[in-house]
Amino acid sequence: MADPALAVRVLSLSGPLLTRASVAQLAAELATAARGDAADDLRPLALDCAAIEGVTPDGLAALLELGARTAEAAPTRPLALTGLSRALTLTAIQAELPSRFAIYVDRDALARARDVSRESVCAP
Amino acid sequence: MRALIYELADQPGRGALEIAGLCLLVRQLEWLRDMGIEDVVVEVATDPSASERAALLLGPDPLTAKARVVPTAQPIGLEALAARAGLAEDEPFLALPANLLVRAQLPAFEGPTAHTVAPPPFGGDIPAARVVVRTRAHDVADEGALVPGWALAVNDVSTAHMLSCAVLGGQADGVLIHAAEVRPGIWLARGARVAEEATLVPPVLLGPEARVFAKARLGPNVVVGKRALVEREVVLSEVHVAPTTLVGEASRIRQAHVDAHGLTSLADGSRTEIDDPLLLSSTSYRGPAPLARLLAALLWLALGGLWLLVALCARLVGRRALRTLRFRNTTLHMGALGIALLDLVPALWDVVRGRRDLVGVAAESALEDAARAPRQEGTFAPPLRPGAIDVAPVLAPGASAATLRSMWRWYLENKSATLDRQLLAGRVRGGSALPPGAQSGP
Repeated sequence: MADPALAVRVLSLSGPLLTRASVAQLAAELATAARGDAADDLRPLALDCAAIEGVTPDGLAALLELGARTAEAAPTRPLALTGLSRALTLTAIQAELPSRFAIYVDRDALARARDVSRESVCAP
Repeated sequence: MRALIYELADQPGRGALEIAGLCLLVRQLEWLRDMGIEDVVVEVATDPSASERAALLLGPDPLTAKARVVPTAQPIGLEALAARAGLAEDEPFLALPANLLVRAQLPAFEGPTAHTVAPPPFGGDIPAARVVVRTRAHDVADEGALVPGWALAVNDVSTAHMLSCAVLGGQADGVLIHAAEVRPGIWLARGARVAEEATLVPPVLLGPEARVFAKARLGPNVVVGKRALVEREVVLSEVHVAPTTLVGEASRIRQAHVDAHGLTSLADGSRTEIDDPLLLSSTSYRGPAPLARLLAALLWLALGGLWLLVALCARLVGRRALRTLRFRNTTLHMGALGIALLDLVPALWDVVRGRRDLVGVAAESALEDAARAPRQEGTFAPPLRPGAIDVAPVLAPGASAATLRSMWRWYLENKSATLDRQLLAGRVRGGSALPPGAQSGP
């Protein structure tokens, strides 16, 4: 589901509930994407959460783990999140998701901000 | 025109400081609304008050209905924030630092421009502030013209309290007090109650549903936060009491910011932690629910005999059946038999005594960490509440210590009877065989 028009590769998460299983599926998709061509490997990756209305506790924990693994594997190319609803934004702050992901308000923001999308999101 | 409220690099969370009963962030949004700007992007950097600010911004208040929140791990700077908010390179926006309270009438602006706002007419030698309209591509370097009004950078509880007192004293134009002035200088918000025998010396502000008991003496310059409770014979002057703080009977406090865990001096900023619930505690948590205590008592009665028998046998072979853990101002009991069900028994006794919840964080290492950690640095915010039945195996199965810590934080923010029931059901279905004390902590 990567969008070739964007400098940032965006994967859309299927909703409405983010569960441990859906994060596992996403991790598999990311692993497949990482085996793509070399040019793709250099593009920042983002997850579009616009379809997500709720998240289960184990889904949230799995997302945190995924963010940590990605940040560890490629510290200069962290995953970004975009399209978070108001409820999901609150959950993200409560669970400290910003320490694992760069968060953008929407896909347009992601497209406009591609010049800054490589910044590190990890706390020092 | 959009406005961006951005965090300052070395001092995130200033927006949570209270100015005469409302936090600075709300005061900023009020001013922006008065200026006709409702499309506001707010950076919320991770710090102990981040959830509180986020809940306020993302809640049902019409003032924040159009506010958009950009969560960050740490302050990322204005340019990066504008990018994450989706502003075009040439789109003008008003840049407002999170610590700046402005009460000035800016002229209509079309493009990048700067304004100088004079310091307030109180508070001594304070530098003037700059308010800038800029774009992502174009910053404004000059000082700009002086506009009527005032602005003040609020960087600590001391400045916030000074400003609150100025507001109550009628010196700070343009800052509304959301309370009724029942006598000159005495302000009571909705639901605040004062005992007849209490004495209030103006200026004093009591927040919504705050209570002051008999023979207490408050003032001058006292602000009592929302749902705070001031017990009998308490004497407070030059004090800010944080929301949901209980100030214990006959306490005498002067020139300090008081919260449920201690005092911060308004004179020099020094912090004193107080672990005595008779002096200071929180009104928002009153121990486990009666039903949880009843359930714990029944379980304890059902398992207590068997535990005693096994504990005696363990004693005969030189093994300990019980450990104690000093947790803040109480002692918790931890089972040490290595049998999950029986190790629950001592913890159930703690629930019956009202010292921990039935469901919650029970990992010994996590409790030790929380007991050691300085609470002001927000290792666990809100403060960790220990439980008997550990939720970690269902909350973050197989997760790393860092993830588990984040999930505990989320859990404590969202703890409710419904969530606990769901997690308990998951725990029963999942059937983790590990005793509460054996889960890996942070």
